[in-house]
Parts: sequence; C-alpha cells; structure tokens
Amino acid sequence: MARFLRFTALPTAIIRGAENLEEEPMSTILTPTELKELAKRVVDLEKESMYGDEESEDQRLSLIEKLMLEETRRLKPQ
Amino acid sequence: MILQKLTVKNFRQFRGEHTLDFATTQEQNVTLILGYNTFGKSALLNAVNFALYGEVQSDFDEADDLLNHAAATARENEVEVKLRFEFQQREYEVTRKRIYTFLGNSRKTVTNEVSMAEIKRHNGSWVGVPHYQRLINRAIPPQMAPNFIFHGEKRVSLFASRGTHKQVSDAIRNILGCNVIEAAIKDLLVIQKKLDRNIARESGDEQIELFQKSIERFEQLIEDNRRKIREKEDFIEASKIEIAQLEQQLRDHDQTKQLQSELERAKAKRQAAEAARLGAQKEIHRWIRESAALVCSAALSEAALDAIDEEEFRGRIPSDFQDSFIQSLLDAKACICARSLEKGGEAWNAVEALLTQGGRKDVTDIALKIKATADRYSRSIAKARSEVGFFEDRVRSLDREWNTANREIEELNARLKGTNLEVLAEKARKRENLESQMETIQRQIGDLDRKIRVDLEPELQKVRGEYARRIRSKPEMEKRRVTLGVVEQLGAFLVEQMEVYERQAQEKVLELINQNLASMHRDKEAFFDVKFNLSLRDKVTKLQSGKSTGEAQLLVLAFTSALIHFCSVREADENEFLVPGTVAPLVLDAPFGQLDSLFQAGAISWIPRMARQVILFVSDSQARTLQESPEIMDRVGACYALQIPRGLKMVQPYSIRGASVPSLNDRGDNSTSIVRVW
Repeated sequence: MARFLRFTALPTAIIRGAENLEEEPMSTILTPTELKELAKRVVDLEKESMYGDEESEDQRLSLIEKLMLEETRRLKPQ
Repeated sequence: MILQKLTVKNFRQFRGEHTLDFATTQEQNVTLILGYNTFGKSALLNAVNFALYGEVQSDFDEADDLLNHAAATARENEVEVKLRFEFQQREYEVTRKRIYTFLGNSRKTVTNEVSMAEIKRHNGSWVGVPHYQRLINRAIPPQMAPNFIFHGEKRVSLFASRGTHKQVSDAIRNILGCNVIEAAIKDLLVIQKKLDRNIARESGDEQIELFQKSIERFEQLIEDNRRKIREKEDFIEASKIEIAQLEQQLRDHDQTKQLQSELERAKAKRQAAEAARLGAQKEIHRWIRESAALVCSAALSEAALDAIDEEEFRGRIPSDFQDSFIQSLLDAKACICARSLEKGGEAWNAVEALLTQGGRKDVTDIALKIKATADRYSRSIAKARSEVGFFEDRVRSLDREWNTANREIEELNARLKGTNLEVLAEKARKRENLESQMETIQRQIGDLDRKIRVDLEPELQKVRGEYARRIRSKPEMEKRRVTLGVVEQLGAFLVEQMEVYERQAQEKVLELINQNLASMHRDKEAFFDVKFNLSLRDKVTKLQSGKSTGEAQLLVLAFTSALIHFCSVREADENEFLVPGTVAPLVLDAPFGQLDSLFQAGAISWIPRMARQVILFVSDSQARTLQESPEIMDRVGACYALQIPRGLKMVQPYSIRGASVPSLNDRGDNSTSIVRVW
C-alpha cells in the first residue's frame, strides 16, 4: 500500500480510511461481496461519465452520493 | 483499430489535399513514410492524433497554428483532416476541421467542426455516428494513446534520466485502464468531505464541529505538505532529466574534443600527403629536366643512324644481318664462284679485303659508336621511365590519401559546426548547480516527510479518535456515520484493488520487457527498483548498471513494445474495474534515432511485430539503415516519400528496395507534398 500511495496524488482522507480499515469499526460496514458490488456500480458511473455522453461533474457526484445513501438505507441498523 | 486512410488539407507543411493509404494486411502491416527532418513527419503523426481526439500532442511545436502558411497567405482559412479506420469489423471516417478567422494579418479566432460516419460495406452508403468520441475512445482510450502514437526520440528523453518512475507508473496505469478507479477514488474523497461537514453541522455539537474543522485543517496541512513534496519530487525528476540531457551534451562535448583531435590528425595526414605529393612531383620534374637531354640525345642518335642508313651507305653499315652474312660466307669456306676459301688463303684474303672495303670501315666505326651511344641512351631512358612510373604511381596514391583526408576533414568540420565551447562550459556549470539544488531539495523533502509523520499525522489521528468517539455517542447521527463509513470503506477497497492490479501489471510488463531484451542484450536484464524506476542490471550479479543513451532507447522501445502487447492481450479483459485493453496501430516517428548500431538491427526487427499495424516515419538516414533489414522491408506494404521544395535543402538522392525516392517537388509554394514510392 505504502509503495502505491507514494506515487499517487491522492489526498490523505482515503489513505487514512485504508490504513484504519482494521482499527475503526465504521470502515468495515460492508461485506466483501457488498463492497465489490458497490465498487462496481461506482466504477460503472465513472466509465459512463468518462467514455459516455457528456455529463457534469456535479451530476456524477450526486449520483455516487445517492448510491451511498441507498446502500446505507439497505444496511440494517447496527 | 486499423487505420486505412489519412487525408490532410492545408495542415501545417501540406498545402492543398494529400492522402496516404496505409498498409493493412497481417503479412504487410508496415507503412513507411520517408522524409527529411522538419518537412512534415511529425505533422502527419499529429494529424492522426488530431483526427482522433481533436487536438495535437502537447509536445508538438506551435500547436495552435495548424493552418499552412501558404494557404493562409492565399486567404484559405480551413484545415481539414480525415481519418478512415476499421474498428470491430466496421468502417468509419472521422472528419475534423479547424476554421480560422482572419483579423488583419493575424489569425485570431478558431472554430472546430467534427463529424463521423460509418461506411456501410454492403451498399457504400454513409451513416452519421452521433457518439463519435465515445466510439473513438473505446477504440483507443485517450490516456492510452501516447503509448501508441508518439515520437521515439522525445519519449526516450522522457525516460532518459535514472528517475523514470513517474513515466513508467503513469504509462502502466494508463495502459491498464486504471483511470476510472482513480476518478472514483477522487469522487469518493469529495463526497467524504461533504459528509463530514454535514455530520458536524447537523450534530448541533460545537465540540464535534471544532473537531471536524480541526480534522480538515490537519488534512489540509498534510495535503499541503504532500503537495510540496510532490512538487519538489517533480523538480528532482525534471532536474534528473535535464541533467541527463546536459550530460549527453557534455558527452557530445567530449566527442567534440575527440572530433577536434581527429580533425587535427586528418589535417596533418592531408598536409603530409600534400608534402609527399609535392616531393614526388619534383622527382617527376627532375626526371623531365634531366631526361629531356637523354631523350634528345637518343633521338639525335637514332636520326644519325637513319641518316647514315638513308644516304650512300645504305646497306653498308654493319648490321646483325650483314655481319652474320659475311661470317656465314666465310664459314662456308666457299665463294659464290665456287672457289675454295681457306682462312689465310689467297682467295679468303681477297674476299675479306673486298668485303671490308665494301663495308667502309670508317663509316662502320662511326655507326657502331653512334649505335652504342643510342643503346646507352635507350637503357637510361628505360631506367628513367621506370623511375618516373614509380613517382607517378606515388603521386596518384598520395592524391587518393589527400582526398580521403580532405573528405574526413569536411565531415568532421560539418559535425563540429555549431559547437560552442562557451555554451558547453555553461552547461557544465548548470549541471553542477542542478545537482547541488537537488541535494538541498532532497533534504527539504526529508524534513517535510518527517513533519507529516512525526507531527501532523499523530495529531490528526488523535483528533479523529476524539471526533469518532463523540459522534458514536450520538445515536441520531448513526445513519450519517454509516454512510461515511461506507464511503471510506469503498475508497480503501478501490485503493487496494488498484495496487493489486498495478503490481500484477508491473510483473507482466517486466516479463515482456525481458523477453524483448533477451534477444539483444545477453548480459543485462530490466528491473523495477524500489521506487519503480525502470533500470538495467547484470543478469548474474544483479547489480544495477548505468545506461548509455542507446541502451536507454532500447529499454524504452522494449517497454513500449511490452505495453502494447500487454494492452492487446487485455482486449478481452472483463475486469469490472478496469478499462479493457485494445489492439491499436503503432504510429511512430523517429523510432531509433539514438539507438546504438549494436542494437539497431534487433530493434528494427521488432518493430513490425510490435503491433498489428505499424506506421513508421523515418528520416532519409534511418531509411538507409532500414532497407538493410529484410525483417522490416518484407513487411512494408506501402511506402511514401515527403517531397520537399527544391532548393530549400541539399539532398542526396537515394533509393529504397530498388526504387528511387523522389525527394523534391517543384510546387513553388514552399510546401511539402506526398508521393507514393511503392
């Protein structure tokens, strides 16, 4: 992980998220299958935006955010 | 994607419309475009890029000025590029226009127009393609394009320094199609920040808001410091490249010194040849001077003999014939009247007296003396002739030596032209400065890194811990907290995925690079060091070794070839997180300009196999090298020459595969034209 992060220009928040996966319970909410499925849906939105018809950044962000909220609603209360 | 035809109109060096039909078969997949430097090779490469993406490459000079100058002078304001290609068994043609509006003598405003049509094979009709860019981007994703359409030497200079990690990791990620994951991660970051702020605002807890602001501040500080590190690392990267270029120039300077000493040696050789030639000529002159008397004397002697022979003494002068006649008469011991001729006898004495009287002894003596003199002169002349022959040969050989030395001097002078020793000294100083700056900046990077790890990150963790505890104590924030957790977990998952893909791709690409190198470099192999730099090391000792410019270019070609191969095998990749690979044409300008002759043959034999379709732009000198390689020449299905205006440049006529290359045109508008060689 560290090697990869050195060569990306990503800000710290996600890195922190990645590093704290095991420490913070809030970062292990989804099962591996759920996680993969959700990641796929987000990446599809990105693909659509990148190689599809023109779409504004705001539209894309709100679609992803909507996905996150839907996922939260789907999850059983902890 | 297979490129079929490119048509350019008023594009840079090309006035009016010019068309290239590319070689498209599997067996003959190479199109060769020959041209002198600065006469349109890079323009055509960029025309392909322009047709596909509506822009030329960033390293193309005067990228905004695509309109041919002669066309502009004639008030023609439209640049047009058409590219016909095949993709997934369908045929398309994309047309891009750039229209300039003249304001006075300058061209200020630009309008772009684009259209694309599918050409229906069954009836030849054209049907518009509305989402043309989507289709093109699927054929060759734009971030992958620089690995397929590029200038070989410029790409080498990018990789020339030891620090290649940025180019290597970018290229691998681009060819791997990671950009969608990267975009997703960046979007998740934005959303995460927004959620954090919402939670703080909606909690109604001042402490939480303070923690949240504090977290943002720390994150911002860490990010600012990381940005500074990246900028400094970029500076170091750029400096390394600049230093590599300076070192190359300084190496050239060493070569300049060597050229200078070679020039001095050649001049000394020419001078020696000149002196020796002068000596030999003097010998010839001496011979002429001295032998003139001999020649005259010999001529006089022969004339005298002739005179004697011509006058009253004809037939009486001694000759081999007469002497032997007399001797045989006397030896016969019988006169023609049948008297016995005994030596010392009366008759014998009488005959001898008669014959002696008939021979005119006095004349005979004179003639004998003249003959002896003439013989002596003849011998002297023969000897002198052999001597002069030697000197004449020597002069001819010295002439050859002089010419060789002179040619060498001319060539060395041409190579030395433009070398400015002052400028080189300045470059050496600049290199030293850069190296010292790099040391300072490296220390600064260390300081910033320590600051992040020792001060900022522990502080941030502390505040985040407090923040999380506080939030967890508020059940009404549970939903928000879960959403934030989902976003963070998702971001972390994607980061991990990307790392795995990248590591796998790196291993595969390295394996392909070494397959490529194996046939050419027996002792060395490629490897990625801990910083992801692509380097060479000894196969046995595994010790890293420096790269010559030729080796650097070889490595870049091997790397590019590996990327293209990797991309093509990923065409059917169904990985949901990556953009699939593609089989794209390789459009390559100046493919092996700096390649050592040691590696050239191997690299040339690679090129046709690097991609399904290869379009090569080569200079006249590279064309001469290429034509010695059957591996490439047998694969050339189309060959074009860029004709330059007559009188602009001294050109040496040359031919390729037996066909003469017509290099000059008589257009009169200073523009380049294209002609098919075969």
